[in-house]
Amino acid sequence: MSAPTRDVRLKLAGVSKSFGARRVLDGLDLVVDAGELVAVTGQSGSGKSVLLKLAATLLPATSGRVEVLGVTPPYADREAIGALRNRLGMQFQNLGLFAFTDVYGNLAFSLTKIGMRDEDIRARVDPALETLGLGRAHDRFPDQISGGMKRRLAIGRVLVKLPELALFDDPVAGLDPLTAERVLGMIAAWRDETGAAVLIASPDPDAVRGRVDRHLVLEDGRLRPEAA
Amino acid sequence: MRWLGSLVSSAVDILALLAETLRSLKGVGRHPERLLAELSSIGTGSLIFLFATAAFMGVIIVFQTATQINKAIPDLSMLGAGFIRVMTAEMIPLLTGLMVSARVGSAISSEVASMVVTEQMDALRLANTDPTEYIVAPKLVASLVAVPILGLVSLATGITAGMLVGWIVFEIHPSTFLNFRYTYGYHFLSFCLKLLSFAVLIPLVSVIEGFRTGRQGAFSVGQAATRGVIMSSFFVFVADLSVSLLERGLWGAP
Amino acid sequence: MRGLLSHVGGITWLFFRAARYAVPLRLESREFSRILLHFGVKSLPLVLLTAVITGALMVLQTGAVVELMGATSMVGWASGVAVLREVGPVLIGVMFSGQVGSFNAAELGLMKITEQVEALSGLGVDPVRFLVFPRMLAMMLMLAVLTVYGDLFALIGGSIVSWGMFDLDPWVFWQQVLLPHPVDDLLEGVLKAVFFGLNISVVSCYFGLQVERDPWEVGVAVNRSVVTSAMGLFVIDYLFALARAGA
Repeated sequence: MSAPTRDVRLKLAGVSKSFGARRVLDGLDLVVDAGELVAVTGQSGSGKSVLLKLAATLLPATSGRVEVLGVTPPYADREAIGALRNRLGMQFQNLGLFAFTDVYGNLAFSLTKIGMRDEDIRARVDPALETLGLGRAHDRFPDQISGGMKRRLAIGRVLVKLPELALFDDPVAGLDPLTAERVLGMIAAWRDETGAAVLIASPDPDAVRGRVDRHLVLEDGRLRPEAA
Repeated sequence: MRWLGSLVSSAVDILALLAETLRSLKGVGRHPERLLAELSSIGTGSLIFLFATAAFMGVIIVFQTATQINKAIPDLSMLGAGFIRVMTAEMIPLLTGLMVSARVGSAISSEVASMVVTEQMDALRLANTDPTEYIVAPKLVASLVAVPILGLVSLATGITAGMLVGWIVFEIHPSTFLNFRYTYGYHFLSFCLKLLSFAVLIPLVSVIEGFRTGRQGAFSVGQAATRGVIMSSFFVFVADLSVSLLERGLWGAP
Repeated sequence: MRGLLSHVGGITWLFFRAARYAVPLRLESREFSRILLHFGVKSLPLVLLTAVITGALMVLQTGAVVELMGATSMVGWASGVAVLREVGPVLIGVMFSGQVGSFNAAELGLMKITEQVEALSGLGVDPVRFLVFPRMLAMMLMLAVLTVYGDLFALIGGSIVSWGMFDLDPWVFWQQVLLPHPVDDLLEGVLKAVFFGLNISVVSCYFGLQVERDPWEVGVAVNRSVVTSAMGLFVIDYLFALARAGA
């Protein structure tokens, strides 16, 4: 009987990333399979956001091999990389909520870019609004909602897009332990349902420890397993 | 001397951004709602402001000039003609440019800066949307439409206001104002050329300053807003002088 | 419209609160000198450059008109008056309100977001006394000084252009400018500049202090202060013109 085919959603081999003279990632290796929930922790400034953006194809590596959803990101080809990014989702550390549209619009934005019809978008976004507890705020703009709601909206944008690889940069920042637990539970449940690969970055190891399949630490530009 | 270097690099960046924006222009049709939003923000948002300042300008110029001339030669019949020419070729374009750069310059640069700081630009790219096409190009198009219109409205307002003052205070008959004897075709060309260059420069310069921001939250937004106003109004001056010199050089006196 | 009126009311109120510290004079001299250096020195190059351009522009236009009326000899005079009394202060005021006004609004807005203003109050220091009043005086002084320098540079720009375009000997140009007792005009321009400085400082402080939580509001504060102070500039200019006509 042959081994089940492995569905590798993200593969980084010997990846380095420098900004001028500053080397942030140094010969880093990482493999994330479908259905895996991986946490990367590390000190502030250790490069977690850079790692995530690199995985999201938003930053090119300075050296090394990057494979996202099985392909090397075609940075030069606008159409092709757009198509690839349609299958990815990321919650940004600064949330990246679009100031020019309301809560519904924020959730629906990436779906309209994928080319979904309005009715289908509505069918997906409306239930999500309820799950996220943003139902009544659906027509408010990001600057009119509370901090907690903003965070849920940022995370919700990823979930609603149903990406094959989901990236979360500091999803539970500033949340009390109970709410943080609930948010991580929501992400984990979503992962169970969709079988997506999930990569979470957080400066707080305690917040993520219980919930994840693998816990890695980013230190000196490389990843190592967290010693328990 | 460092600021001189930054001015030169700004000029280079403007050309680069212009090239990139022109390439994205055809994509603007895909997002008409952005274009409408920008038209409203740049155009109708500035209307009342320009209305008021143009009226003031017209009044003040007629006041000052008439008072001066009265002292030397008590013949105000030619005032209108000179006034129209100065307003068309110089005052109104410059005023429109400065007022628009004040209003729109800081708004655009701080908007872009806060988008960069909150990572909205990255989020757009991840949602398969090119920020230049979605954010920058609509601003440029809206500006190209709105600024000339604003200029024309200002011209009409300023001349009317000046005319009224001339009539009420100095008893100059309005008919002498509608005297285009001293205003030649190339003055109108100057007018249009100046407004068009402002329409291109102001949004591009402000966007560049917005993108140049650091990632330090509120501090960066404030810095960008400041630089947006300063740089766009400076380029307005430079463009204004360039066109005026060009006009003078090409068509000589007067 | 109602929003505008409430802002005007707020600005006037802030002015009175700050003016209280003028009589008797209670000035934080260290803040005052810091701001003078900070804003004044930084603004200088760009304002002077703008002044030169402005002077050149003025001469291009008035010169052409005066030439038409066959009075080339009056170019210097026309420019002198125009620059000193009117255009100089106004355009420099606009540049300054853009540059310094936005800088100021942004700085105070940031202080509000980082709760420094609250901290001052907590320490028993009136923010208006420590922050607003020194800026008010500094900007009034600065704008007066910058206008004097700006006028000079504008006339330099003007003399260059009249030499290049109208073949007017710079010596003659300057003689014409200085002949009809320009000191009155200069003083009027300086007085106007002082009022501009007052306008810019109070307006920008007001909008800066209105910022609450979001970094986005800093941009709004800058925008509003630039627009409002520009409007105020023109109103003040108009009032001066009225006063002059009445005199």
